[in-house]
Amino acid sequence: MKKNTKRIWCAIFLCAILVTMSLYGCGQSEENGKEADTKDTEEAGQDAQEIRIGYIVKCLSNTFWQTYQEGAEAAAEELGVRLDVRDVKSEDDYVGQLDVARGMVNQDYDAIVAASITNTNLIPAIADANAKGIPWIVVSEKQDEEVLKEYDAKVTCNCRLSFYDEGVIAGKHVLDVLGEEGGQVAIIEGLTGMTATNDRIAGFRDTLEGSKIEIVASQPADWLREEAKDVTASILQANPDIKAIYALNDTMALGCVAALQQADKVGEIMIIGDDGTNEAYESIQNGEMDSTIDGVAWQIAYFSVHAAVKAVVENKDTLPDYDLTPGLITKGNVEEAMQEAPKPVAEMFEINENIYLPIAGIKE
Amino acid sequence: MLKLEHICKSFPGVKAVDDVTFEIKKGEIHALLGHNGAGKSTLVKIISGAYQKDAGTVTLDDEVITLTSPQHGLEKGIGMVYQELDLIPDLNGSENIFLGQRRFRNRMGFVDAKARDLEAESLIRQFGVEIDLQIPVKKLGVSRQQLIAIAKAISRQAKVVIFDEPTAALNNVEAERLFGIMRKLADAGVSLILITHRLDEVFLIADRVTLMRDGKWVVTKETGQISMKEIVGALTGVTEEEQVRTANQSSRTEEKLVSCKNISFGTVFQDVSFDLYRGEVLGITGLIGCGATEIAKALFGVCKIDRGEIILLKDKIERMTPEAAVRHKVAYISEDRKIEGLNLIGSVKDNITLTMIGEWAKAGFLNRKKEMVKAEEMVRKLDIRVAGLEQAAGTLSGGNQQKIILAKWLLKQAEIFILCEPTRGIDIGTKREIHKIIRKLAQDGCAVLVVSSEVEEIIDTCDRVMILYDGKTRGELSSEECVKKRMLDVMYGVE
Amino acid sequence: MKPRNFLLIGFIALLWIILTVLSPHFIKISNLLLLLQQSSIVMVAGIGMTFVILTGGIDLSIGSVAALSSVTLGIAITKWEWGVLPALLAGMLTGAVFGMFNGVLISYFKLQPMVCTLGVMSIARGLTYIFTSGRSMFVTDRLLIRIGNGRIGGIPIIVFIAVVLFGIGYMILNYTYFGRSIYALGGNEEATRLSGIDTRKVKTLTYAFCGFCAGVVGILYVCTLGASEPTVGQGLELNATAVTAIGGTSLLGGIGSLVGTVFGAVLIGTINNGLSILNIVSYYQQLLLGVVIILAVLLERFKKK
Repeated sequence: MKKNTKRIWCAIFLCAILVTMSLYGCGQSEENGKEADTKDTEEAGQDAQEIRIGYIVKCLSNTFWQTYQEGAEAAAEELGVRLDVRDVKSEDDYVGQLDVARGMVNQDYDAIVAASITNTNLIPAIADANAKGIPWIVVSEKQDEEVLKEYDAKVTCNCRLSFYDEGVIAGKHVLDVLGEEGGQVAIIEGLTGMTATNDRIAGFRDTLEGSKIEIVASQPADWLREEAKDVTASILQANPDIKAIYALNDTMALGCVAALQQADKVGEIMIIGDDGTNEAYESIQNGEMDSTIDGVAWQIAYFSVHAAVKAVVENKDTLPDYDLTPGLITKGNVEEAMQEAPKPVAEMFEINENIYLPIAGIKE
Repeated sequence: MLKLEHICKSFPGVKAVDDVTFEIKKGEIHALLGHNGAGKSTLVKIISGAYQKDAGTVTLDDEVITLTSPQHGLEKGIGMVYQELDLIPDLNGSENIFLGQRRFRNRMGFVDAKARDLEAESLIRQFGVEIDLQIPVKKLGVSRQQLIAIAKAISRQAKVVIFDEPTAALNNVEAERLFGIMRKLADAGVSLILITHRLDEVFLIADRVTLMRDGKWVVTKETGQISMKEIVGALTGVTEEEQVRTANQSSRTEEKLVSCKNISFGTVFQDVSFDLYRGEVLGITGLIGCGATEIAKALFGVCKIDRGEIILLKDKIERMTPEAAVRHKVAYISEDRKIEGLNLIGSVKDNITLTMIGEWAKAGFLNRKKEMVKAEEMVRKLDIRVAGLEQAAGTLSGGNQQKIILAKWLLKQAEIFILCEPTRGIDIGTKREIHKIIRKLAQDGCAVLVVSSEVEEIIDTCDRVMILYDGKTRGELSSEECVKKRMLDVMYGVE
Repeated sequence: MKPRNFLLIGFIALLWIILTVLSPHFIKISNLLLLLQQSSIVMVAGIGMTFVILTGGIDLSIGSVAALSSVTLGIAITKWEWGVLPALLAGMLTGAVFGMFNGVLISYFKLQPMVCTLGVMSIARGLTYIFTSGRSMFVTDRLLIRIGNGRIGGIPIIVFIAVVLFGIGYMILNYTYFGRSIYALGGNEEATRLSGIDTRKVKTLTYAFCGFCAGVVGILYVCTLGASEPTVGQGLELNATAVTAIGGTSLLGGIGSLVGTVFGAVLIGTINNGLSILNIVSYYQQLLLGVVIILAVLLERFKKK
């Protein structure tokens, strides 16, 4: 008897925990999901021939991709199309992303926009999409030409996000500040082997080559804040005279800041981040980080949806490529940058008339 | 046809088979009998190729053979049906029968399943039963699995098939059918070796019997020329004339500590009732598989019971668990020291004090001084031979390990001791010491239950003995009646 | 102290000598203190892991639970505007509750530790993202930052916290009924149960303690980073297991010591710190780390023979 009661209590206890957890979880997601709800009701009012856009990003737990999502959703709302954003659970799940992409092709989305993890991993899905006549818009670095040829696949439009350019901008900024006297700098790398890691480092290194500036350390911290902190602290031990650190994303840059705080060196060393997240902006305002690079993720995401809709409506195979220059955000323009989010799209119409779709035209 | 000459096989410390010579004729059913540990299992494993002999020759059809593996044996025409049926549960019947044989493999290494299935079916058909050979064997009943095992054993033109306790898991109807099949095989010219504990079966089916004792050959006779009593006598080496032993000095009181009423668990044991009094040693014995061990485990809550009630120290226990048993001052000394008794990597001290640390602890903190003192006391009292209290228990001899287990329950001041095979694998000297400890426990006012398949052990230690046969109580003998011959007769179901 | 630990000290000393020869910056006091500080977090995680591994189990969820604890602390302070102390308590409690949850599933519902904690690992990480929408937040509480970066008598406070936790753990394992039961349980669960010890309770408490340690790790993350970040603690469970194994705790349970785990943590900390100081190219880092782990465990094997 006793035993049974015990068991029952156990079961009740477990159920209670599970229920509380899931309720709590649901409560949280409901808050986030409000936007989505309102959108759904709007859509219900539209005609059945609505356009469905599939949007594949890398990993939504990274703020960078959340910015993407926001930009894309803003455009979708304006254009009155339905947008489904999918991600994979980590930034190195190449195969998982391909599965997601293939799933979208099978579900006959009207167009697919994708930020592939590497410049090759989604190409099989692109070939599938071509076969079905689904436009494919690339919003990451350019896909590998060779492999594209091999699969006989074609991309409708490249809304290029250039990691290399970001590295170049960071390099130029360091040159501007330290160029004359020279000095030591360090790089905090992301996950080893990823395109974002390789290209940003390459851009940075190429820019600094031949100058008086010397890269004395380049160490991986796997995009993680706590790793970045430990690595930075160790680097500072070996190279106390470092003048600047380029962290390949803002999350790691904030880890560098934490290391500086511990070493009591905040403000003495330039910390340059990348991605342009709100947290980084705050940190720049507080005078902790020196600068970050706005990868214009929001805009790229915004225009990529335009491009997708345009390809569907006008039934086009190819659209001109679209490049936006990343911008450097320093203490000087950080206020502006913060207010600009979400960015004023109007000014950019002129620059990008190629893919911009007059909103009124669609809604009619 | 199969001739064994001067076969010997030793394991560290024991001579399991000692100079055995006899012959098995073509087409006969030959029963091989022996008490527990007589060496018959070892002998048939040598015949089938599972063990390699140390000396002697095996001649099959005038050819001297030296087998290296059971597979090799099978190729030579010697098959074995193990008691625990060595089938792969998830493979189907046909796959099991021809497992490990290359016959149906073509040049590419693929299996010709169709030919194999046909062959398997024809094998099974001669048994006169229908078996679905395409489903995993785990979905078949035990008796059908056994037929598949037999088919496997005869799959390569078997000349000799060995059956190890084939009826252990069968009911009467199934057993009879099996005997029919065995007879048919024998008539077809196959020689069968049958190992069994059940003498009634021997007289029912065997043509000749060979008796073994302590690894040695005793006698080979036609079944018609030997009586059941003679067999038991020869098996155990005990004759009617053996002197009546002096009964143990009983210290039994009238206080009932344990009372079991009609406890049953499936067919393992049925309607068993007994009482255990303070100051007495009760023995439970029987042949292997008689259910004695399971009853002991049920008393400690390790095995379940379906029906019946257990009363410990006047409390009726609804649901027996080890915790409840320990609360009622029950100590359980398992037959399997290494799994249920000791923490082999723990120290001697930690093992001895394990049952008591909770009581000695103050606010959760161990009383390490008391532990040392008490552990040392126990080591001295039971004369446990250790290098130090921190020695790992796993490095001790079996006897000393057993003493450590006894020590931990003595410390707990248990009043009801349940001992399963307390001296299995223990050398003769320590064995006697442990028997003395058991008697001492009773004199000190504990109730002791000894489960043992060793008749001598029961006689040495017990005041009273209950004998089980096939899960049912077969008889109860008092201390005075506890004569070896008598006990064995009851155990084998002769009396 | 056991000979095994001397061996580890020897190995660490050897590494230190090599690193000193290779870089003048390594042996500086400030760097050694930094090394200790960097080892502290994995040390705390390793202490919890050692408890669980001593019972013959494993807890793969500690990284995620640590993240969840740090996020709970962050939300409690910034969103709910709780005081620091209740928020800290909430953080640690989150860890302990999840540990307990593991323990109940494993001991009362007889789930395999590996599978069960794998599931909880995913649950905890999922909740972390749900609560934060994947965003990190600044936690600028003075006390927390002082814990994270402050020093007492020149020694980082985090190191003190790790030492205190080690002390508690050491005391539990060696001087309490609970600790002895853990060893007995790891050595032979069946025998321990049959000796009348409530093994399920012991196991549940062990996992709860491990969860508590994970909670502390989560708090330390917040303190050192000045922010609660939902991605922290990835791979922590593997590091903690490595540290425990290097420290000589048998993954089968029953054998091992916390002292070994501490040295294991220092060893891993030394490697990570040393690699950064020498500025070794990232491709080689993982290789070297693996080689050193295998070497450390191999050394013991040779000694046994």
